[in-house]
Amino acid sequence: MRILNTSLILLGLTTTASAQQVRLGARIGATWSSTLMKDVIIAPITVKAGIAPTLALSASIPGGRKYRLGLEAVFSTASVKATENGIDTDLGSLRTASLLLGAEGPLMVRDFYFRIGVGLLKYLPSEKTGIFQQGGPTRIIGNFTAEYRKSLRPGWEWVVAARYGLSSFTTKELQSRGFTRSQAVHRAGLEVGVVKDF
Amino acid sequence: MKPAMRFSLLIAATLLGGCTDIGTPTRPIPYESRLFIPFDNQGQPAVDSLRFHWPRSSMPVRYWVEDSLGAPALVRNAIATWKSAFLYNEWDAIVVSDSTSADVIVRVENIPPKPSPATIRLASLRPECEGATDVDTVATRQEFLVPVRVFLNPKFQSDSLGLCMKITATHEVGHTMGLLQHSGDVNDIMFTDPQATRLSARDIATVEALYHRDSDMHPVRP
Repeated sequence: MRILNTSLILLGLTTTASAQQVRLGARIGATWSSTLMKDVIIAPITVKAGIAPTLALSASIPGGRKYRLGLEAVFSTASVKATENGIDTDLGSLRTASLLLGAEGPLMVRDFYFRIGVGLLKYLPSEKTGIFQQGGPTRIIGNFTAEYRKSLRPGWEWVVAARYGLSSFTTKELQSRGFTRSQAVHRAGLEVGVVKDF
Repeated sequence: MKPAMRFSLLIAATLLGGCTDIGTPTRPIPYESRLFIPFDNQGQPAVDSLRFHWPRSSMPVRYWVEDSLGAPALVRNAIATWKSAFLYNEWDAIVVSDSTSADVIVRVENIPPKPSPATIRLASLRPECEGATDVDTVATRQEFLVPVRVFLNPKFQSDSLGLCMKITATHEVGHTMGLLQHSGDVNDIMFTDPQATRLSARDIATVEALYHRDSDMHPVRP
């Protein structure tokens, strides 16, 4: 939370200092996630989030001749299921919120841009039960996004983005039950939106 | 180093650090939870062993609790305790006000005689209080008669009566979930004379394993 507050304050100060150069963006789309965790009681059990509607908000300022520095916030919500022997059990819904500090710039191909970022991903379960009975974890996440941008009208661009993120997953409850390490979680998203230069 | 390069290295470090699978724990060996019935369908001596757990279609299991000596709060606490044993929402229960739709009836009274010779009674006995759960598998052996009846009986007033009732309620709710045997370990809540104030790792492992195996019986209402 302290990192998030500091980042917002820094962005606010920087934004004020270079208000003419700020670029804001908003995208909506969907995110797929790989398995959140695995277990074996009698048969193997996997826990996985479904396809998650996603909202991504970004703000950046120039960080060099070609590159920009900025913050990106990504929000999503999905149902979570445990699967054992092909039978699904609903574990409720899981919201995620991530805040990433990153950079963006042009790729080799015209109209294509990259965005990379590192930050924190907070899991917010709808109910404090089961694997989340001691709350949702906060994990480090790294994102890489490839964007295709096309001018809509002066100052505005529309954007199609393909995002890949990697984070890890475990919870306090799992750790207290003797689960070790954490599960690598791959997240892939497809989003459309707009970018506006101020 | 350019900012983009620095961030690339950070992301690469994240990727390398995160590429693992979670390590699953080694759980304790469960204790026996199956119901042993010492006679066959004709009433002749023969031992049958039957496993029971509530099916998903019965969730949440409905408990009606006599409003006496704080029993509803004790049962709610027992439900929360057992619910916390599960990682994947295998079992859930609520306390209801309508006894006619209840799957489990909890009374606070002297433990009555068994209603029929076929009823299996699982009793717990502590100095200050006692509990009993009556299980009836009907004659078919594949049916688990509901409502299951539970009795909580405070035997005499003492400073530790409240704790006794709390432990006993948790123990009896354990029986109603399908733990149809007593543990031989005093550290387990399902020990015959329960003394543990919380679920042991074996209690958790046993109820987890129970709800991930097939049930031999299904609940029926006459």
